[in-house]
Amino acid sequence: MNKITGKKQLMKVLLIPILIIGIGIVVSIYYVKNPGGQMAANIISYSNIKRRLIEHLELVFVATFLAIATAIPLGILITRKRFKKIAPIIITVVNFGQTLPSLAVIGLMMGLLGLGFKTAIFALWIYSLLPILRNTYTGIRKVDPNIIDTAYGMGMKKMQILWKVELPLALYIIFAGIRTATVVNVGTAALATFIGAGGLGDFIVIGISLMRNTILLTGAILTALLAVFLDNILGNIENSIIV
Amino acid sequence: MIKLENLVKIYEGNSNPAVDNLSVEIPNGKICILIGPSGCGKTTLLRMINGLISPTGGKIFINDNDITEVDQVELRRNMGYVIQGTGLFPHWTIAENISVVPKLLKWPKDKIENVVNNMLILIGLDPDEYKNRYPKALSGGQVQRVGVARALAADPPIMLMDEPFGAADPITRSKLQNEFLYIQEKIRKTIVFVTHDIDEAIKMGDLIAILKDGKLIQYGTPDDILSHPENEFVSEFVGSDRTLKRLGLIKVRDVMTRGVEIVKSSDPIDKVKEMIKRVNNNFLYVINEKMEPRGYVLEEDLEKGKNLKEIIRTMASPVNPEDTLKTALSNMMALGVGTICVVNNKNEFIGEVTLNVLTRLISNTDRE
Repeated sequence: MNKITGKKQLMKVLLIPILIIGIGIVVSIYYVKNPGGQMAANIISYSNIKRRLIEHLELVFVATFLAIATAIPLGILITRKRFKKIAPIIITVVNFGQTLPSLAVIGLMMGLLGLGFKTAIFALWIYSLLPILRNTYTGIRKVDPNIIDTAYGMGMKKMQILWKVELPLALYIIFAGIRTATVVNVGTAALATFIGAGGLGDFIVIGISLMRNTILLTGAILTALLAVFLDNILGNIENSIIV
Repeated sequence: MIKLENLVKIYEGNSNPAVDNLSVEIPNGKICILIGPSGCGKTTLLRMINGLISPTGGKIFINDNDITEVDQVELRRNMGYVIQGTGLFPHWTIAENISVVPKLLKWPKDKIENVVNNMLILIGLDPDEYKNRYPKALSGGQVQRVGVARALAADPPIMLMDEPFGAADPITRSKLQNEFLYIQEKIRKTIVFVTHDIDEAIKMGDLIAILKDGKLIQYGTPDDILSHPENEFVSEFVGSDRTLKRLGLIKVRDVMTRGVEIVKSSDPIDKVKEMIKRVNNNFLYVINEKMEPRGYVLEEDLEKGKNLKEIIRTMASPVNPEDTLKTALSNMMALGVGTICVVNNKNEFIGEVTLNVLTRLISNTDRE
């Protein structure tokens, strides 16, 4: 029960995200002003940074959104009585998707779907299914059976119990899964550059191949900051959920 | 009236029935206790009444209506349901918890608000202070009370309670039991109450059904069961101290002697001497101006002092007519005396209970 109240607390919550954005801006300005050579200067520009950052965010959000839209319903479904038996099978299959190295998933998807944004989204989607599915499943399963029992005993219907009792009580855990998936996706999306889907990974790969530390670090630092930023924001939302 | 007729429940993959051809009638307005060792089928029985478990055979009637012929959801909304640990929804405030069934029944908002306030007052919690708290911020006893309030909110004629006070510590439990009995005095619901605690059963029950392996072994009033246990199992189950337990059932008012001679603390010794001879007893209770008992005087002490105040002896702490003989006995034992005086709620002397009366009562139990 960590309800955010008052201006002071709001400032406290926003302090770290604002700080991270600040560091990101300072780092960007520094490398644009000191690109370390003409070749690097062509690559490290404000417009280019902005474009790659937006691409990166697009990859992360679209993939995570799709994962939420599929994994939560699926997670709910396998907690229902009728599907209880197949739950372990589904979890195992999705688990398999995540044990594969991320680069391998991206490579595999390229083999199947070709280059581009859609392929990257597909790979990221597969990769982020598990944390959300698993947390939805365990979150609902972990709801105190006594509470479900009284809900039935008081005359609530199945759907009412799902929406008013099971999901709200599992929300905290489900949201933790979404947070994990999002943060993991920030890292994995950096690999999307290999199949031509852009993102901040572009800087890293170009930096490595041109042996220019400035380009490499621009990509690497911004990716890391993005991960920390999203993790912090989502963490604060997670903490405000009442259980 | 709840009528269970030849009920049978056999769980899948289990050859022994959990409930075995059981028939019971529970009259309206009474507390019926289902009790027995674990695995005797008492919880299964309770959950069949509100349709959470469907019977393998037999029928359940509520006011002569077969419950399988009514809508199960409707059925449950007309029965209060309290379980051990209460099952309060942790993500809802106390007010939201109490208003669950009224909301399901689509009552108007102001009526629900009223009910929430009344229920909180009924269970002795200040509405303004507790309404918007979450269950986490309440003590164990308070949570149990809210569980009861929630079950009562829509004013159902029937309450099903599965070890509702089982999680509370002994002191809190006894308090909750007393409060609940007090509430039941007013609301007169038909209550089916599961417990494994025989003392709780004796205290709470108008009727007790003793179950074993899904079968009904004995069904009767607590006094019936304590004074006439049907068989070895029942007498073992109620315990070897059943005669003492019976004392817990009998109220002081039923056995007290009224019109006992007493003296005032201001009375002169000579008058006391005369009186003590007349009543043919070796002691007399002493009261003050307000009729409150102060102690007693012994005949042998009368020569030792000039006035009563010097020779008065401490008596056992008085009991009320509504107290049980168990309390009376334990107060006597605490001081090692054979008599105890009874006072009304203004603390005025109204009579006495003697050890002789208790002994006669106890020996009667065994001879019957």
